[in-house]
Amino acid sequence: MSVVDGFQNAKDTFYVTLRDRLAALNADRTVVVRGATRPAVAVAENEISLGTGTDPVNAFVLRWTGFAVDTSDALPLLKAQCEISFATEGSAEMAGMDRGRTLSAMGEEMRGMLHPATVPKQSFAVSPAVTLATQVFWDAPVFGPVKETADRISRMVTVEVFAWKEAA
Amino acid sequence: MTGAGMSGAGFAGGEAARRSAASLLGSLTGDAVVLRIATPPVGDSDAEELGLGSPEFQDVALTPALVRVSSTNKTTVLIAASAVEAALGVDGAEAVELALKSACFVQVSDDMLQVAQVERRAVFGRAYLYRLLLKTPETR
Repeated sequence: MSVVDGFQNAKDTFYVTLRDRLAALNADRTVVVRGATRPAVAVAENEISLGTGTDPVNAFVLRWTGFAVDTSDALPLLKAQCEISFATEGSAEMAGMDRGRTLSAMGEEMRGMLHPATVPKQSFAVSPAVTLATQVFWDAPVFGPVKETADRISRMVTVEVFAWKEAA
Repeated sequence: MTGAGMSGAGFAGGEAARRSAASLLGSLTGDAVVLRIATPPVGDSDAEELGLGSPEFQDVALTPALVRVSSTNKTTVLIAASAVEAALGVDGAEAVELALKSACFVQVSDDMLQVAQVERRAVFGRAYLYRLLLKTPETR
């Protein structure tokens, strides 16, 4: 089994955790995907690709990069870097003048979603999902600089996510 | 014809523009473009959010559609608002724009393009024409 396949449960668990925590933190932070409203967290590689630059605003979009494995212990430790992007144009009522405040609020929601920094790993390949033997855990987030493009401001947060590769 | 919150003259002006746009496009072209739209996720299942399931797709024909290709190979499609609303089964500018932007592909003749931008032309607050700016899907 490749490193990427072995980390899939961790990726799924991390996404579901952030999604459910955001719903608890701010039930109004939602996104419409194909006509369905859900908490504003999405994994880019799990969605229909519409090209670069098409991420929804006021939502958190996860991208996975930089896989690695440490085999020095009995159980291999898998690591991946997750880049979480979020952007806003502010609200129409405020003519976008609240986009700075909105981005700050989203940053605080980001911090809230990532705490605590551990969660039991689950497998969603079956329904209902089953809880596995180990945890998914992650480092403190690193917030990148705020970028401004026309009427949109955005930010990227990087998180190192770890999980033990359990035996099949 | 009048309605709550609308002046008779304004509403009539908007409706006249809608009918004019539909008639004009109908006289200029009988072409159609096809929107390929993914169906909404099913129930409370996490499968599609996790890449474990794929949506079904439905094709919606928009006609009459005036297709223009510029000298720089940019494709634009003009469609009467009434035709778009009838084909998509939605009403209201925001809902229509959302539906158009959510299309995965737009088939123009043999080409599968994507929606880059949706522009709405309105009179007295009523949309009478939609202009789709299309792009070629990104490739590696």
